[in-house]
Amino acid sequence: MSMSKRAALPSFLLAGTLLVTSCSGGDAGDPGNAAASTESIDGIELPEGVEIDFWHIQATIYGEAMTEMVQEFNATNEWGIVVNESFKGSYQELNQAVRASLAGGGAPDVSMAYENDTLEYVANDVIEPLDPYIESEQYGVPEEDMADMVDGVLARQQVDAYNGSTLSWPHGNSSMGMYYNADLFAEAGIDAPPADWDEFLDQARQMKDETGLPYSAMGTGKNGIYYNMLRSKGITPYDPGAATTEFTSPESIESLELLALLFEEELAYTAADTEQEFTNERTATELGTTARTSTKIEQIQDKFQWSVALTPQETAEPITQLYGGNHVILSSDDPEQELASWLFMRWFADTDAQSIYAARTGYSPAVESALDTELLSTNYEENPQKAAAFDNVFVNAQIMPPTAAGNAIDDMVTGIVEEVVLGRLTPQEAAERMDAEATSLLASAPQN
Amino acid sequence: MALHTIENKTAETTRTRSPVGPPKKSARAHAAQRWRRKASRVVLYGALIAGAVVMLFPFFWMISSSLKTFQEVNLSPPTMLPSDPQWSNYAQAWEGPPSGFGRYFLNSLIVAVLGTALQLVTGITAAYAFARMKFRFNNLLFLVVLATMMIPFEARIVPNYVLIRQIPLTGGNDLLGEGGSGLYDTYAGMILPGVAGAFAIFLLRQAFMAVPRDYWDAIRMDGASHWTFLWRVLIPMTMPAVLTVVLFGFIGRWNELLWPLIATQSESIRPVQLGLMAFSGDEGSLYHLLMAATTLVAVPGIIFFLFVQRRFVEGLTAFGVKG
Repeated sequence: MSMSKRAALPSFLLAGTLLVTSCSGGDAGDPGNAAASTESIDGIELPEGVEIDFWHIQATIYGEAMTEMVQEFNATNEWGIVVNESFKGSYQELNQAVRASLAGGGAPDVSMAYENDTLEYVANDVIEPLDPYIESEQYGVPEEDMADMVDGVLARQQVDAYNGSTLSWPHGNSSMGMYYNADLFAEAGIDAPPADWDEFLDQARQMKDETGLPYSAMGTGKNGIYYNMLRSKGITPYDPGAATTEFTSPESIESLELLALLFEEELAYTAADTEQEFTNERTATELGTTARTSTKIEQIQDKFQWSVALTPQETAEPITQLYGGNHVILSSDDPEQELASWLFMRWFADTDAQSIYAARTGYSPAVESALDTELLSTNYEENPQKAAAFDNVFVNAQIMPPTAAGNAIDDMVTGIVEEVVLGRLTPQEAAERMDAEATSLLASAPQN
Repeated sequence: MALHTIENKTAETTRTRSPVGPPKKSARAHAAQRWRRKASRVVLYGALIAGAVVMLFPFFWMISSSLKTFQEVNLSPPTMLPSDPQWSNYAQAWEGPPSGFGRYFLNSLIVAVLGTALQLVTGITAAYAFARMKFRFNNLLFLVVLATMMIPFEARIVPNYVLIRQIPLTGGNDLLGEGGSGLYDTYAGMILPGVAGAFAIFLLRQAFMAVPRDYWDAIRMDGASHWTFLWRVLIPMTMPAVLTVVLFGFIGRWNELLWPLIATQSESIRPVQLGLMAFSGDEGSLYHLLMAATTLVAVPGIIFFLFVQRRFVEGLTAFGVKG
């Protein structure tokens, strides 16, 4: 079969054009963009009707709440900014979509991102530092508003790995809490949730003896619980800057031994859906995200008394895991576009928007002033568990030290901790393996 | 169909053997043979029923869950049947996502039908060339095509995205593919990256090669062209393989999730699988609505399968494709 000359020429032209365009790269996220200064930002007079694209991961009631918030912003903002929101699946899928758009063009103006994703974007120089916007006289955030932000939430926007910059702004936040069934606690003769991990073990044995029920259901990803144990003992699991870990420390071995013991004595068990286990009274406690408080309220209704407490602590400074994503601005060549993005982000993290988000979902508000709004105060009165999630747990939450290797370390730790609870690895063996693998991952992470 | 064939063969074998078989069997031997035949049939049907139950249980569970309340669907141990069927779940699921499921269905139908049709055209023509035409590097090129099956989808996301964004003279792009959005957020952007599939080419090539060359020689004597041979002889003779490609293509596109998620932004052009995601996210799932929506989404695929199942099975067995 031979191709006619007439057909060959256009075909080669088309193929050549595609090759050239494929190699040329996109225009969005062009590295090397000069960051905006406070003066230049103050000098911008935003024209009416700037449109921005916003990519997120929120579905179910979270998606509905966010659509409501975006509509509210579009209808009320004084600059006539129009936000086009687009759902992009899970964090992983969102990250894939963002990376594809950075290569091919069409990146969103604002995207949700975890710190680990943010560090990837920093390494590629594709996001805008927010400090000039925050400090702007015309468009910035007053000091009292900065002070209004919950400590852990503010801290995660300015982590050490960002080298003194603020690279993200709050979206929605939750934390790891300990849900407990108060009726089962009473039946077992337990007065209050455990203060430390020794008491956790004692209560677990007491629960088993008195009711025959396991004390705790844990999800398949146990890295969060293990990190939580370490941090409650005053240990930070790893240091991305120094590429070292504390996985072989005595506190780590102790934590792994406790996990192994809980499973060996059948005081704890693994469940794919721990919430289902808790709401169906198959376990007395559940260690999980406070984002699920609202769905628990709906599922449990009047079946039993319950609440949420801080996980056990062993130092004077309580701490638990902080979850949820942030917003980042992806660089473009258009300062007006970037400013409009910032104004949307600023609004989203402010009192009114956060009160809507916290009232409609299980997230806790990023700013304390949201608690004083009529919407959220009424909601918390009607749902005391949500108030408990904020007061008892959320205010103590801090993120793990962010690193671009974070996702890989989490996966590795999850796998190895699972081996420990299944009795396939001793705590010592597990600790050594985690240390070796995490050290190597940290050393090869882009920010190092 | 398969059982029917076995029965016929058995009957035929019995007829053939009877004249040369043992001269006479006692009544007891006949009874034992009959009993063995019945027993083996009971075992066979028992196994088939057990298999069917295993295969159908997820569908039963999906429908049962779709009619439960949010509380009941999360009960453990679960209830097999809804205590108070919530038919309104279907209405809620239909209207729940931003664009409504009607729009998602239409979008999926457009993508699945057009995408499958285009894949069929590229598959048939390429397979014909590989199976029937002699040209330099035929086998090598075919191996290259096969090798593309080894590239995971995730590795193709970025190149495909760059390609659809930078197709020249589309979506405001200039001749160099810059300045606009290309085919991003369009039906064409969702369809084009999958229109040339190695699997379709492979399956059709095998089918075309199974047709004896004598047919080509005969039709050639009547002055027929390659096109005539392809459309009048080869395709009708290999219809099971063609329908297998259609079915795989249609269901594959109907179930596609990640690519439409990346290649689109507007809810108004997104397909049903993205509509389903409205009920399931990082912060939990609304299983009862998810199951109601999944039931709605599964129906067209099931109906389509029912129409082409006989040909589909023939295609799989004739050309040695394993699911």
